Amino acid sequence: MKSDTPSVIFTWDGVRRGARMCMPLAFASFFGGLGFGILAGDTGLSLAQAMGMSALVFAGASQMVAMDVWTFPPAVLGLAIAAFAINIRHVVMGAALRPWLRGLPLLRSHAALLMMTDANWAQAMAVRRKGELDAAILVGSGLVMWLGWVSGTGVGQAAGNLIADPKTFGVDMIVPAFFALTLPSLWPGVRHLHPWVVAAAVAVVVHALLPHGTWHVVAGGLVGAAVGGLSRE
Amino acid sequence: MSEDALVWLSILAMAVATWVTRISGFWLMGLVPEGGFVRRALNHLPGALVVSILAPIVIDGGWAAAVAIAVAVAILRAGITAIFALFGALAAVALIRLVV
Repeated sequence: MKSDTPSVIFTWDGVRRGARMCMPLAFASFFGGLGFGILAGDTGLSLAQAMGMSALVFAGASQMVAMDVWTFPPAVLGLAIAAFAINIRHVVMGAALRPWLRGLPLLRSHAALLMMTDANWAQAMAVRRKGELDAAILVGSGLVMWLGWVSGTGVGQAAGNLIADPKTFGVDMIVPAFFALTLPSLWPGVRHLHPWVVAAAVAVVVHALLPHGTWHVVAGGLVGAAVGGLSRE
Repeated sequence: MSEDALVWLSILAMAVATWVTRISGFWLMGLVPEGGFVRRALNHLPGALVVSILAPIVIDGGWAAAVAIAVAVAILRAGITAIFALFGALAAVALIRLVV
């Protein structure tokens, strides 16, 4: 199915199915939040502040980096700019969602956009390829991940270093493994693989030049998509 | 302003900056005329983005990331559901870390 099909629905059933689909991600999100909570406690953030940041920002990498550069009193503008630079990949992800969400009332499309994270976005794009119409799956999947993230943050901040290193259980690999699971349904076929090759090459080079932020995702995604756009179908 | 208030202000500023990134792509895309090129490019965008996220992780993350990705895709290709593919990948990484 082409991704420019105009039809879209938005139902409670979609919320439920999205939540069910992303249960393993909610689990990953909890452990990610645990890691952030420990870090936030070490940095000196209170329980309310750590959980408040997770609830409002809801973007792991940018929160981890903020803890890395945090000072008391904090540099408000610098932290906001750093968060923007790290989350800049969301801009391109949101662009890819437009053909799907365009037909929805603003409140609904924006509920889906605000619950968008890397993992549930990738999942949504993958099921969309298989014919999914219900954009509310983004809300359901985002919601369970949000719950995991915020509760994990709370436990991590409160329990601190009592917790063993989650890396022992391979939890740090859950996100790369999850992304890999979306690859088969996004697979364009061997004859149309050049956008992927170009995207990977551009991403690696840009990541080496600009390791801070996610400019490599923006650059690789846009250049790869442009190469795909230029080629014949 | 008290230090506590500045902490909350920073959290709010980070949140607003992140909300802007989540919403603006949808709107920016509305300014672009959707011709054949844009439609084809949008079709390729999700795959290109996922590959761009994964490529540096594999290079920086070394064997653990490569093993996790390979095991996950292999289990999925064998027709087993995604949840088991995910936990299979984590188990493989944990097992190798235990041994190495």
